[in-house]
Amino acid sequence: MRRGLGELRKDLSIIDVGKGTARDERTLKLKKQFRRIPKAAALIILLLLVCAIFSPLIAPHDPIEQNLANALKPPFWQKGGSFAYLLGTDNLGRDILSRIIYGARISVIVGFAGVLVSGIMGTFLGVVAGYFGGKIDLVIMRLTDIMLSLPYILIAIAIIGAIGPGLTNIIIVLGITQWVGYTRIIRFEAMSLSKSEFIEMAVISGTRWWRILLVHILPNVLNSAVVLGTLDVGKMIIFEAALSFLGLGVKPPTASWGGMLADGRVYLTFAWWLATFPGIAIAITVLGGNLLGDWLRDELDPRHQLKA
Amino acid sequence: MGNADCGLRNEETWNKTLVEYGGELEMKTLNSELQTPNSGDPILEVKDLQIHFFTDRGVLRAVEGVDFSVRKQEVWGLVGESASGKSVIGQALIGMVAKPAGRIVSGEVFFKGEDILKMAPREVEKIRGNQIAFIPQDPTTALNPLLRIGFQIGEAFKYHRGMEASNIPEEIVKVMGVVNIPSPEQRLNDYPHQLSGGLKQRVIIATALSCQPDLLIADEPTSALDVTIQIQIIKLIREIQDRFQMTMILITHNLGLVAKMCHRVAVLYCGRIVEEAPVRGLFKDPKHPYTRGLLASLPKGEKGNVELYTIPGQLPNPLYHPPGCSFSPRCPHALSKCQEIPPMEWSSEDHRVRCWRWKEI
Repeated sequence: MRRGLGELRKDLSIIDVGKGTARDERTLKLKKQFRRIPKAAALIILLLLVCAIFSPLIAPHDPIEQNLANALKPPFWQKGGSFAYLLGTDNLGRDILSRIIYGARISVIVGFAGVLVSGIMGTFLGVVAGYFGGKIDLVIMRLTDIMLSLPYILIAIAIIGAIGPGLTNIIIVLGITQWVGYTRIIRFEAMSLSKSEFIEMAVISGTRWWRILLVHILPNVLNSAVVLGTLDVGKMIIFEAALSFLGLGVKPPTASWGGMLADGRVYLTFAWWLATFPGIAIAITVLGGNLLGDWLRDELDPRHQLKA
Repeated sequence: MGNADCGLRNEETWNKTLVEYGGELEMKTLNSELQTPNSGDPILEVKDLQIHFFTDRGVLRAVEGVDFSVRKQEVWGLVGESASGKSVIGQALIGMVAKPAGRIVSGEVFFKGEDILKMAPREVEKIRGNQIAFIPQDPTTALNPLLRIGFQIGEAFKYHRGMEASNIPEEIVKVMGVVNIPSPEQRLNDYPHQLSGGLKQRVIIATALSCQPDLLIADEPTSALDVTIQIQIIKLIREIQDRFQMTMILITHNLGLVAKMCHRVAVLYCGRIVEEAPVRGLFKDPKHPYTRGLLASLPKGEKGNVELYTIPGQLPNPLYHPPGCSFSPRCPHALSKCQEIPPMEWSSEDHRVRCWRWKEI
């Protein structure tokens, strides 16, 4: 039953603490994590990105070119449909498929830029509130309470009313209304971090406050911010659609999914495809984003890794 | 009073204590000049330091009027049980009392003749980490898990020495060599999770030493380590103190450690120093009943099942310290007089004690 010395050595060589093995271990772990990525969700997001980046190459038609002779054509499998317009045309004769493909651009831009703006704002305020505490914390926290008590659509209408609709303005609105979630979570983490001994050590070493925030606290809370961000991309896309639906979003000839929903609403009783396809596009994209966010959250959670 | 065996009154027991608590560690001969009373210039003088914590349940008097001075190149020990206020004193010396509850109510802390507590925050920053360094209790939480250790050791350099980035790695390697971290050039790029507890504590010590401080405050530097590593770390700190002629304040509850390391030692009870003496004097001839109790409760190397002595009673609730001498409720010698706070009295030229009855007992 006794194991040979050679065997023991072989075992030991596995747990050798050499530099190379540590790196190999890391890449191995990364590979393992990526193997667990939800394939369908990744495919959806990939498709979205491809559509957004290469829309002129993929789209069969010009998304804003009107052709009234072809107005309200049904999708190809219905009577009267043709393969030239796979998903049919809208009331102005524009190809629905092409408009959805171009609309992905708006969704991607708004989704990522909105998350970036609100995430940076919220994380910054959260770190500041959590680290300094006291009056600064009080002011920032009351501000988040105010933001949470106001319906975001109300704020959006007010701001858009003041500065006018448009892509940049939507991103500004999303930034202003959506930072609260980051601030509340990041503040809590920064608070417990700022009481930890390594921050104390950094203070004793004479590190300046902005350096402590930037070098010591921020990287330690970034995990949560990133996870929150990925889960928020879907939310941003829905908010953009809602704003466009209300006519507060992207200006008309530009294709956006929310705008298409709004346009199709009138024709819903006899031309269902106008509103249904952009609606499906929104639903699938948000689903993909959320699944990917869930995966990332689990992967970045050390407790989950113990289980796996 | 039946407690004649409390103190360690002869040379033999004294040496036994050293053997018990020092293990194989060789005692370096302490600088004898520092053993002589009232010699050497004080580098740190603390006068009437009072630190209170204002909590929802009332005022917690963590430190109630502490006076002491630490001389250059001396190792000064501060012993006391948990919650006696020893760590709070350590924090106050580097201006890091936990806010907003904790407040330094009164007192003066003179470092090289200047009162730290009255300095502008900027001035304190210049001294802290540069001239006064700090070693915390737990090395596992004192390092940022996301940064390479070389970077963390170098932080103090960057700020206090204004060193150019290209010179820093060499300096860091040098400091890491001083604390005996093997192959420092490679370790430089390790993250804290790749190090053992002992190595982490070495890294912390390296951080503290990086600017060659004049005063090192070590707050239970070994309490989070296991015994074999403790000896290594103690040896290291002792060596470094000797080599760089640093002044050191050692905060601990380990009397064996004090016996090995310190020139002079103060015993803290409920936020007050009850006795201060050169280490030999304290161990051989303790005056205060609390100090006697502490020493009596040490194992003395007897064989067989010998029950250890325990001081009766418990540490009082820190929110309601007893009136007068805080130790009186537990003291076998307490009289009605002890309801008043006894003054600090010099029993000999280098030994002081805060007890009404030190002459009699």
